[in-house]
Amino acid sequence: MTAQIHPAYAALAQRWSTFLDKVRARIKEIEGEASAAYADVIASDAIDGTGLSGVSSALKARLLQLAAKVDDSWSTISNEADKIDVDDGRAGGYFQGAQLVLKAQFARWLERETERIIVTGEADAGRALHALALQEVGQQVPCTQCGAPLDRPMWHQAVNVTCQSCKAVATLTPGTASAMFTGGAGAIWLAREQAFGAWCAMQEAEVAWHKLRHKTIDDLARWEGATRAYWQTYAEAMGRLHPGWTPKHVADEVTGKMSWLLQTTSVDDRTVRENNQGGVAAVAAGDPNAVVAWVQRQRDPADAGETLIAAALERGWGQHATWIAQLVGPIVASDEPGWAAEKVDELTYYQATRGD
Amino acid sequence: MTGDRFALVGHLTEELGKLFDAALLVEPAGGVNDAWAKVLAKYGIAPVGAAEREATRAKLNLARGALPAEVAACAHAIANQFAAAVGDPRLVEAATEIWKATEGKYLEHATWRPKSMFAFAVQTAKQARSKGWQRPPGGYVIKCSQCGGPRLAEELACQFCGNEKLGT
Repeated sequence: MTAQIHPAYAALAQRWSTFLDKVRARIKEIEGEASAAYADVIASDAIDGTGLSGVSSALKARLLQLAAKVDDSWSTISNEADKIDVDDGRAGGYFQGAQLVLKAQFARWLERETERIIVTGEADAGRALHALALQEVGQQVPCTQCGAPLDRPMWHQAVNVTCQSCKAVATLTPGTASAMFTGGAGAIWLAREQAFGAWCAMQEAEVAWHKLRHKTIDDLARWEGATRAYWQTYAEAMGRLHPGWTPKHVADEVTGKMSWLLQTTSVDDRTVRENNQGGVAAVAAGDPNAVVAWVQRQRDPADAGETLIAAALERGWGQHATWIAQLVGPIVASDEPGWAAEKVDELTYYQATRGD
Repeated sequence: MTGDRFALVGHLTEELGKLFDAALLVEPAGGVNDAWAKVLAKYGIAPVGAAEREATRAKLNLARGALPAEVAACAHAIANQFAAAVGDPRLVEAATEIWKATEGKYLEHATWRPKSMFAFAVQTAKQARSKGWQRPPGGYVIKCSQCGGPRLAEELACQFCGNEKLGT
């Protein structure tokens, strides 16, 4: 939802925008430094993850500092905006709402960039570790009893094998790189890299979900779907990378990761969401009779009418909002001829000043 | 040295100190901002040409500050002014000596950069502490602590002497 910025706020808007651009540029510089540091660490030692996690921690701390700086700067801008006196009583609200949207977009961008930079660096280390692990896979291990070469049925974990020569039971242990790749974070970061696109989609779906005040079952299904798609992509990647991840392991991982969402958010307010679904679906279908019938079915039709208008606005269906108000007005406020226009205006302003 | 001469050298040192402070504040490194342009104009020094400026800036790896050649030229001009005012050409020589003694310190300040946020992590990796515990894939056969017989089954009992538990 956008609105014209009052000229009195133009300089502040420009300052805020310039500041965010500068922070973005600084983050790009930090990314360059981080990439060099990851490369240095990997070249020095691909097995020991201490230096690697040190780079990721330092990076995260720096980016969190920058995020905090953005918050502080916003407080300054907001305070200065409060001091500007203009005739239009809504101008300040529109300005702050629009700038808060920019701030929220920046925060989401920063969150994504943080994840991308760390995932890329850690995955590079994972690839180097994997290469070392594969060298270990090819190494022969002799029986300590008779010296005959032993067959190694698996390279990623300890296993007992019987020597075909002397029949002694030997316990085989993986090399450090193999153990670190599968038991440490090597495979995990490579899987996270492969699932990064799905992760971004999940984040976007979560943001969309939280932005909606009037949620429906379909909205929930979109968030659930994106969450499941991410975990499925991640688990399947792990299945390809980690010799211990069987198809059952992959399925269990997805089930486990989905359980919290399915047992909490998915069941909370289910009745309300099902009810909203009916109203929003009627609006989406453009069926006036269904819209009116839905509103009349509600315990408080006036409140339900407002809910439906707000639900349309927060989905970006501005024209639908006016249409709903015109349909619902005669039912819930027949004695107030200006109700529809007033309601749309009031809710549009609210939507524009939410700042998310 | 008389009191007047002490005061004169004091003024000269003060003027040079101001010059170095102004030079170190120049951003971007090796450039000419408005303040530095005024200093150059004040002492009648022509700025270094763009190509030479860029080459020197890169060669010295400046992080901030004016080009040392421009600072030296200004210092020399200040000394000339003082020398002309008091009629003592030795001041020019004194200023040259001061600059020679200061140039290293100036470059130290002009090339200083904060330690990278990743320096500690990189240093940790370079110390390669892990090398001591990195192992290739290996294997071992547990032996009976009583008779020395090898393990022949998944069970840990010795199949040679009946000892219930293999190992140490």
